[in-house]
Amino acid sequence: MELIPSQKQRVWKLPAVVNFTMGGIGTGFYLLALLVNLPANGEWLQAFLAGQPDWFTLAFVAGVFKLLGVGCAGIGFIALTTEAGQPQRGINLFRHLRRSWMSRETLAFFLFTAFAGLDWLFPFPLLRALAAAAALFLMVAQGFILYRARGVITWNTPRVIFYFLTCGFMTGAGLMLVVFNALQVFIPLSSAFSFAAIGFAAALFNLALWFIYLQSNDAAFPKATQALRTQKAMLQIVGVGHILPALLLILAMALGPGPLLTPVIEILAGMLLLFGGARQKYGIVLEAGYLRAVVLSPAKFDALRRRARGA
Amino acid sequence: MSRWGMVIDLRKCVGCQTCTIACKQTNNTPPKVFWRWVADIETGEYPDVNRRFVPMGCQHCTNPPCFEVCPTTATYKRPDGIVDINYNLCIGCAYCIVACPYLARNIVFETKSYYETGLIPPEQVLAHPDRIGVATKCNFCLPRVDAGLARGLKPGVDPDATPMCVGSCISNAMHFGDLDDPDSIVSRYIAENDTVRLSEELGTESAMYYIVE
Repeated sequence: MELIPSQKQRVWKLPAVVNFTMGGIGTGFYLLALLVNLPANGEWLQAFLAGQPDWFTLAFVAGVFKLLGVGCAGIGFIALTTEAGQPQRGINLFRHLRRSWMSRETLAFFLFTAFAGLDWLFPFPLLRALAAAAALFLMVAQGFILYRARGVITWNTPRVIFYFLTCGFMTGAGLMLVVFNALQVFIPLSSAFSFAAIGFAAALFNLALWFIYLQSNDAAFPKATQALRTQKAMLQIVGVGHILPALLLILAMALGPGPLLTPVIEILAGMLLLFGGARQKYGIVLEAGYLRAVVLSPAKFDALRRRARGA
Repeated sequence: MSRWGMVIDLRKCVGCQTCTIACKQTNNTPPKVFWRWVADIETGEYPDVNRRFVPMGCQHCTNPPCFEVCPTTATYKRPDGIVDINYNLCIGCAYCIVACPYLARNIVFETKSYYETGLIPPEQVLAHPDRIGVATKCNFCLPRVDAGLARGLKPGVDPDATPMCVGSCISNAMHFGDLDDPDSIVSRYIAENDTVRLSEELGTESAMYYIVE
């Protein structure tokens, strides 16, 4: 017996979307930035102390690839302060690390910031590894935050955790395509990996996870995710946010690194990947954020009713 | 140690909302915030239809999803089973609100009056600034229960130690008591009737039992 029908949650709004989106972009970007060969291995401080004139350029490039991800995730946290009722008590967020994924997310962000910041100042593989582990944990924690919200049908599914991982890497690849190609205009950069190929693979993986996410045996799930299945939403998420950038990246890979057109195509594809990920998270949090109906267990209720009538 | 719980006999509830008002008056909840409320539900299909009234509120779960997600430990579970909120720790992130499957939690961001003229003197006296920007919910009238126990009263038996919604119920549909005491009124109701709990499949093990038929 349904007592209270399912209704949309109204407490987590746009700042929550910004947090989840920027968190995914920032962590995904940082993890992919580990694949960039930084000029002078990112050791700008030595150049500065030695009085070399290019120290600022080195510091800037290292800063982009080591701190931009932190900055993105930080924007997400700042956005949340506009939504919380008593943000000045934020230090209390660390009090429930044993069980709350929001506490763990906060800790992961601070560790990510600290290790990435230290690695920018004093490049060291261990610091980079710790920052990468914190970034990955932050990405996972954000998925778990939604998963543990047992009141919301469309969040309380383990599929959302895996989706957050693929989306994080996809949007991180999107930002990487934009930044890497834009910086190439001023500074020659290299990587042993093709970010176009990574972006293409991430888009396909994320699209697959998206369709897996939309499948559920829970009868209430399709209704709650109806807004994500409309023609308009499909066009935006699947078409503009995944298929189109994937096709553009195939074109970029076919053209090769030579022509000027390639970076322009890659930047456009990157921006579309960012749009695709942000649109998905907007949809999950705001459009499909339906609270569970409150029910008296149907089977038990029917049994009681039959028994009462028999008596 | 006691484990407080409630039994609500839906066969007796007439939907008068006296419990709703008693709760509002006792706890001074602001406009549009209800710690206790009565859902008015139509069940079945014509011609076999039925109208039911189901008092709702915090279920004081044994496995509370709100407690698990709370990043600040503001939401805590007392040894006697009552799930309460420490307003001084809460940051108002509203995570508990989306985690609660019973729509039991609220948050308001400013003090509001029931009147267009602004807060009238009684409202100013009864305002709770500590409840602004934090999560709030039913606490089984914890101050009444604790004060009653301190005076040697028995919650669920003595009205002064019993939640106001239970004490005010005009049809004697609501009962409060110790679930661990086999002689308490709630244990006897549970033993003598078929009871159900809301959204049992979620495994929250709520402390609110409903007698349906």
